[in-house]
Amino acid sequence: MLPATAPGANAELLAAHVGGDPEAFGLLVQRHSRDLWSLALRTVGDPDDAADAVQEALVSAYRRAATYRGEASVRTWLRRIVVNACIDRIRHERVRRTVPWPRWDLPARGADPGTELATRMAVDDALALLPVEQRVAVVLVDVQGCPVAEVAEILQVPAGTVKSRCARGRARLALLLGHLRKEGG
Amino acid sequence: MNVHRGPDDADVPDVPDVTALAELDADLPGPAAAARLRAAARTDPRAAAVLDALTATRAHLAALPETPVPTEIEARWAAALAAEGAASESASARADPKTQGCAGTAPDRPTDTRGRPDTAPDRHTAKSGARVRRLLLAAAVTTGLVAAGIGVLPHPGAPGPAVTRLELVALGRDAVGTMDVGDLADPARRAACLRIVAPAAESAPLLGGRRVVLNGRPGTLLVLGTGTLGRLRLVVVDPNCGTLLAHVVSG
Repeated sequence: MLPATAPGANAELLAAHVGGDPEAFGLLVQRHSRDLWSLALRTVGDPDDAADAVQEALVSAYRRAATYRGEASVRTWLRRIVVNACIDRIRHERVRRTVPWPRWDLPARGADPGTELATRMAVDDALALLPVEQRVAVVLVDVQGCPVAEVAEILQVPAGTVKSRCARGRARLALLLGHLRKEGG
Repeated sequence: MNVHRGPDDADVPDVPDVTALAELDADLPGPAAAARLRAAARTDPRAAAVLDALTATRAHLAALPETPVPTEIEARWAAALAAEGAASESASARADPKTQGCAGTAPDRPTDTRGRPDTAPDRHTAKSGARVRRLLLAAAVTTGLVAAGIGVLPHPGAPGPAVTRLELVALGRDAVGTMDVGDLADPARRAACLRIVAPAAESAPLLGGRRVVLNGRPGTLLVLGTGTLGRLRLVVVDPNCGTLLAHVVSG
């Protein structure tokens, strides 16, 4: 078995799945599920919608594995499928009303849990108010730490568009989080 | 400096060039434009405050933690993928010339639902059920699932197949995804049973099970996860869960 950090391990797992290995796709899911879940949760804002979106994406990836040509990394490919599933749900108004984050992702302990939770909820709530294109770009770049070039591949837009969406999203978030105030406000 | 405003920016505060400064912060302008923006920002403390606010915003975003996937959602995904695997295998079987009564007569290989040439239709057909179970097993074991995503079947009256201890491992692997374990499907009853006869298995996730006759004695086979891919804990208890008939860790 390849170690999780082995270069090319994801592509090898996908190839093994295409080749009939019944365990390979499960291992791929295990490796990326947390990342994909976080991406979906912060994009659609509702746990049930996020779960549905990731499930659609995983089934789609399972079916389309043979079409993967290696132009992008498997991680990028999976993220693209999840983002598309999320955006599809949002654009077809299949998302549920945005609700506060569920209890299960609360930090178990921390220096100041109350303040930490309030800050997190404020940031997550503010993210939910961004237009979806800005939200996805900000989540991928600023929350998940993806390079702009990879986000451009995921979203299939020029890198400048990613930067522009991030710039607009951050400016709006800075206001929503109280780091910026309207003059005279 | 020009301010570029779109319909989404209506709430951006009317301080100097917030959008242009955000674009500078995002490394969007070219070198010359960036130099002009930086020079202008140095003379305006409000511009510096905007850049600080953007930095603080990015820091807050970067500090957001990844959220763990709830177990029940992992179970949903595993079940969906197992169903997809089953559908894929069924499609392969339908496309197999042998299942259509044309064994050995078709010059072209069938193509499965994932679009790849199927070079081994015999093997695919023969192993269809086992493959689905292994997919479910892989997903369940690797994501640490419990039995939440696996259907529980009623306990039938048939005593189950007669097996020896040597045959138990093969039977256990085939039983993944089958939940013919009667009352032991209930987690509390199962934990209470295992606590007495096999304490090491008390909290192990149930991946499957069925009734068996082991070396002539009727019992219930429980297939339990170990947290290690491909390794199963097989426990056979008598119908009243008063006696441990077998306890094997395979793989």
